[in-house]
Amino acid sequence: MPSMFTNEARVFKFDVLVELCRQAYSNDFSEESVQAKARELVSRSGPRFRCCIYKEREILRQRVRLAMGKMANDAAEYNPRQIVQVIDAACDGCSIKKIRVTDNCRKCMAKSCLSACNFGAIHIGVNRSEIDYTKCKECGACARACPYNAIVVTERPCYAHCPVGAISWDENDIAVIDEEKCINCGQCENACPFGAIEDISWVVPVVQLLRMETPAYAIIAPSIQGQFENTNLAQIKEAIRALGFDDVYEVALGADAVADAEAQELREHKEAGIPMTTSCCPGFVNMLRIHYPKLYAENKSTTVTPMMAMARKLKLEHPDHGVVFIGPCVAKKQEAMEKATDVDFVLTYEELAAMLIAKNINPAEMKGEAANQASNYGRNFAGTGGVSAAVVEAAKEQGHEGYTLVLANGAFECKKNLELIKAGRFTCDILEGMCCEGGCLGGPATIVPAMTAKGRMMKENIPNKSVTITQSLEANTFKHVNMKRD
Amino acid sequence: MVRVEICIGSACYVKNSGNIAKELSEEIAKRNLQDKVELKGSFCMKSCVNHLGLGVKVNGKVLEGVTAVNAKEVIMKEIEQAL
Repeated sequence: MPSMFTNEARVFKFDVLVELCRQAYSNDFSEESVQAKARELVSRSGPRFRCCIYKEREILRQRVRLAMGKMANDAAEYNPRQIVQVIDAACDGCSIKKIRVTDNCRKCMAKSCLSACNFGAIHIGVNRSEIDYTKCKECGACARACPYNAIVVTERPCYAHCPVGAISWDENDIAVIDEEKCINCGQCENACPFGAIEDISWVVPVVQLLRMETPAYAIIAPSIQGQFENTNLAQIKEAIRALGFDDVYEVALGADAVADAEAQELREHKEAGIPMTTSCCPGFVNMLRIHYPKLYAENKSTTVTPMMAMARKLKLEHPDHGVVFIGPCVAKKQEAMEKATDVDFVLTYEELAAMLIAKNINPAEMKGEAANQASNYGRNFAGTGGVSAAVVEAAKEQGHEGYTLVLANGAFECKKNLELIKAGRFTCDILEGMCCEGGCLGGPATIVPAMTAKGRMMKENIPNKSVTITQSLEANTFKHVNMKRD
Repeated sequence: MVRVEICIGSACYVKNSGNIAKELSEEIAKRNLQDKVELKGSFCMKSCVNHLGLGVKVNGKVLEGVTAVNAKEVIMKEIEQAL
């Protein structure tokens, strides 16, 4: 596999994961051996990204700790539910002023910025407008007034991307996550250009269990289709089996069951006149649970996520097998760790790819016999709009129609629509919430851009389009599975 | 054959069960017990939920009060009894 990421921070994170997996597959594995090996990733001839190699080594040490399932900060109290963590050594402490005047300023005659500022913070300097930061209230009125776009509004990327206000910074400008507010959606992780916010990884225990030949199933999220170039779903499944899993199941089967259960709930919600919010995005569900508890109780569908449905089904049928979910999502890690759930571990596509490279398995070279299982509706849970489309289809197959829906694509749209429900001004029947833009295909731990994956996925699924949700559920029954979130 | 299962579920892994499994297999090799003791990993066996400490089963019996500190001693004692 050639280098898969275009973002160098991601490339580096991936290099660490690959080295960790190589070590985990070797016999003399310990934290010291990994740390020693990882140090080779920092060049002795000079720093590549930071001020000195000693800082790079410290960042690397914290990265390895996180990748091994420990807290990045040695002193932090262990909290496995906090998946997204700040690597404090890596945080650049972006001390950027929110409003800045750039070279575009032509010191024009109109001086709209001057009159737009209500706080007297702008004066005209020698070459351009200048801001007096003791007076500036960061309202952005001057930036909107400038006809040359010479005044820019910039925020720390982590802070700007957090939908729930969980990011702040300490006296040294190092980012801090408020664990009470954080919904583990991973938007900050995606946004940080220094790779200073990362998710805790469970790849080491999974490799160890597989090496001890512990019976385990892998369940793969629908968005895995198209993540590897020139590789179809059957080949991906075979590659995962080659890692030591007994079998691989599509979570899209669970998604079919969820669509079916949610369609029934939708009917009840409609009769009661309450809009229903979907339940498959764990970031969105966390947002409801933590920040909108009233809506969580009233509006949220009580159905489990597709991952949980599939894991429950497998654990009922094969209690002696472990279940490892492989997906694009970091919030799923938190969902699985929330209580003693039926999902034992959650891995991401990055971690899967690192394991494959460490074992020299190339999915594109697998034979892969076609085994179509789930319906396209279930598989389309991966993209924005797919969940509500599947629920509406399931409702149609059950014989009721005519629902209206709103797609909240991205965490901020989720928040906006939840505010509308709270205010009683939401007029549709279904709110589909997806914390990542583009849905799971745009998740923080995906390998390729959402649009690339979506194209590959749709092309691959064309021959499968006649399969209905009812047919999928007849082939793989969920009748014995408890579909209610407790 | 004595069958020993060690939980390497997330909660036990955090309490260092991964290293304990490795140390134990070294200890078993040192005492030349490889033919008599089978060491297996296990996904969560719910010892964490029931507050029993680290999840360890010897011949199907769930041990109680195993911690990272006493693990090797307690488990080896249990193996000796079972042999």
